[in-house]
Amino acid sequence: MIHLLRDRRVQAAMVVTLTATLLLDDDAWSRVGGGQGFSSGGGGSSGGGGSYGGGGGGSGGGGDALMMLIWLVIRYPHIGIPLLIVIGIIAFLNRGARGFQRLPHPTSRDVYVPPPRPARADPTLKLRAVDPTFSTPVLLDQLQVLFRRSLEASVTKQWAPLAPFVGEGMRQALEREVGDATKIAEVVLAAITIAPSPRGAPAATSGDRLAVEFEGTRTVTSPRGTRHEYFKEEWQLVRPKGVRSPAPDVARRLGCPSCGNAIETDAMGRCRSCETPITNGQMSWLAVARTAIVAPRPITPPDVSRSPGGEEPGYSRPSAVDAELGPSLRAFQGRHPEWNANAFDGKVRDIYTRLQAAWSEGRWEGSRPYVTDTLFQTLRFWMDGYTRAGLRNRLDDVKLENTRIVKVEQDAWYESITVRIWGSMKDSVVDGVGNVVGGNANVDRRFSEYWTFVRAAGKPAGVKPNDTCPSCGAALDRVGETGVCGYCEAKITGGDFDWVLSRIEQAEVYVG
Amino acid sequence: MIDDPKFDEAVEQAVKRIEKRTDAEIVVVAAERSGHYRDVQMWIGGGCTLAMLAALFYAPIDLHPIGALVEVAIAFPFFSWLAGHRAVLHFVTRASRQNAQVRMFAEAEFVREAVHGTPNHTGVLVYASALERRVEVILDLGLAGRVATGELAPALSTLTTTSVDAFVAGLEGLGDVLAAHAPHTAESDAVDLPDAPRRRT
Ligand SMILES: [Zn+2]
Ligand SMILES: [Zn+2]
Repeated sequence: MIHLLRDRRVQAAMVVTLTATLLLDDDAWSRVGGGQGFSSGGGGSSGGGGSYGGGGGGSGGGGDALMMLIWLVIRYPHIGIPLLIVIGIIAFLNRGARGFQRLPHPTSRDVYVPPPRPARADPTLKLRAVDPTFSTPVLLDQLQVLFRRSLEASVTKQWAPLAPFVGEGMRQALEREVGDATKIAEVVLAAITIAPSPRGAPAATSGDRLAVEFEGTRTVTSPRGTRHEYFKEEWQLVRPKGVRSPAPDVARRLGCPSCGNAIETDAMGRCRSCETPITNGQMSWLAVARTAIVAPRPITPPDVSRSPGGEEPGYSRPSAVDAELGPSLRAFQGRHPEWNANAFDGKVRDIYTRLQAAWSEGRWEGSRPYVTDTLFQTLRFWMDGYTRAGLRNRLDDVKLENTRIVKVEQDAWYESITVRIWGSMKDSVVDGVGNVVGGNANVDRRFSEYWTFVRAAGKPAGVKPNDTCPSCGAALDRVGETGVCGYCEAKITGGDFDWVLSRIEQAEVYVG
Repeated sequence: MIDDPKFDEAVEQAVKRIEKRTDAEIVVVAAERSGHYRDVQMWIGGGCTLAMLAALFYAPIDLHPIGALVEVAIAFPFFSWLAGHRAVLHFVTRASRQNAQVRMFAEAEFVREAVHGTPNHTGVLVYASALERRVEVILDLGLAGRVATGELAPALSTLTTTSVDAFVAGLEGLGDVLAAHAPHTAESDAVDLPDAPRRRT
């Protein structure tokens, strides 16, 4: 045995084996896992050092595996160098295997687990990862306000309050676009979509970028007369790396991205309140380019066609239940003991009835207290289309057959609950004198949709009655278009006081 | 057991049955293993490599130094990979370590699955780990205060990973004890939480 230990080949082989063992896993240094037989070796550096020392030489208290490897490379390069390569390869193959086991998405058999959302197709996932205060509903609200105020400013040329958010080139492009218009009013946004990649030439930036599509209608007044037009355009926004999203109230009123106060700047482009330079997009999204997706054109009447009624394709699809529903719903209940599932379900059903009634009567403002600004605008766009054409979308025998919670989510500012609903109604389009011109007034249409309700995070999530202001308790007869209660002046459609409906998606297209 | 195609369905139905009798909210997590045991794999790989090298030295052949290198390069990854098999790791790893790892992973799952979020703290985590062949049960504090651990012990001892039927029978036994101390009330039906076991691979 002693004789064997003196053999240089044996020394080399032992060093090789032990080095490999010790280098490959740091657990081996600290924890003695398996076989008892190895426990003395597992004592750590002294074990390794022992065999090295037995080799008779050199740099003393060896034992550090890395030192040993270096020594090996110098002393026996024909072994050390290939060994270095082998260890490198093995270490590479084992990367990430340390610590806790990585646990993939669990699956469950009773529910239809939606296909994983393609991360590349959803640019907000990337933003969420780098920006801890990012929230999609807040961003959409901010974009909506920015779009409207930019249109106004391109007529009035009053750009100062928008200085941090609209770049110089963008202002000129907008002013060119509106030409000699003297007023732009009734801007109704049908959709604000965050696109995965821009259609126009990508704006130069080393930070975050955003491509947003705005679609809607507006009324433009110019010396040549007034016209109603449809538009669809893309804006590109950029911001430097590391910039975080503002709090919801600051985002919605486009306050100073640094201190939140109303924007007033000095000649140097610094905020008068906090003296931070803000006018060049240093702290916020800056719109830098726009591309018309379609040239603005006169509004066409809605496409009205007869339908056979009956079951829609999405109605009997399996529910796309979020794979994490169990833990996220339990966690939600833990955060909000005041939340009551039955009361919430009652609220969903009541809002459903109220919205269908407001829609059917062509009185969309009746829905105002229950939906977010963005959803209100989107649906108003369609309603206006009917009204302008002298039509009405009449809904009779409105029923809600079933509801089911399928997803609970929490982001930086909001908590949301997505409910799948199954309903039916007689859905027809009637003209001014009540003649049915589209849809079907005799056969029930059965459909299914996913409704997402949101609530500000960090506030009690209890359910309040639907017929009074959730802030002051007064009647809801003075809620204006902006969702502000006329009695208490509180904005009740931002989710600060009660659940509001923020999204409606058809079961045919919902992907979780 | 958890590889049995019947497992998910059988457990889901059992949990539904149990939750009709008790207010306890039962969450079953089925893991392939609790931890990677990489160090054990490496020690086995290293040991076998060394033993094989020693055998080569005693063999009546003239081993070139490069031969030793080749032996290590091939044998070490091979034996380490072989030692990664569930059955091998189960038999060579000390029981106390396996117990400790299963307990630790179960505690992590308790938080990850938000078992503590249940109103009145009536959550129960049943964590089954295939490699270690162990089942760990953690009651949330609202239940732990109502059930003496001594009373729970017989039910827990029948909760094993030997087969799907044995596991389901064990769950039912656990359900009976829970039902006696936290009987079902209408309140717990308000929220429909998924009952299928959660998989960890
Ligand atoms: Zn400021
Ligand atoms: Zn009010």
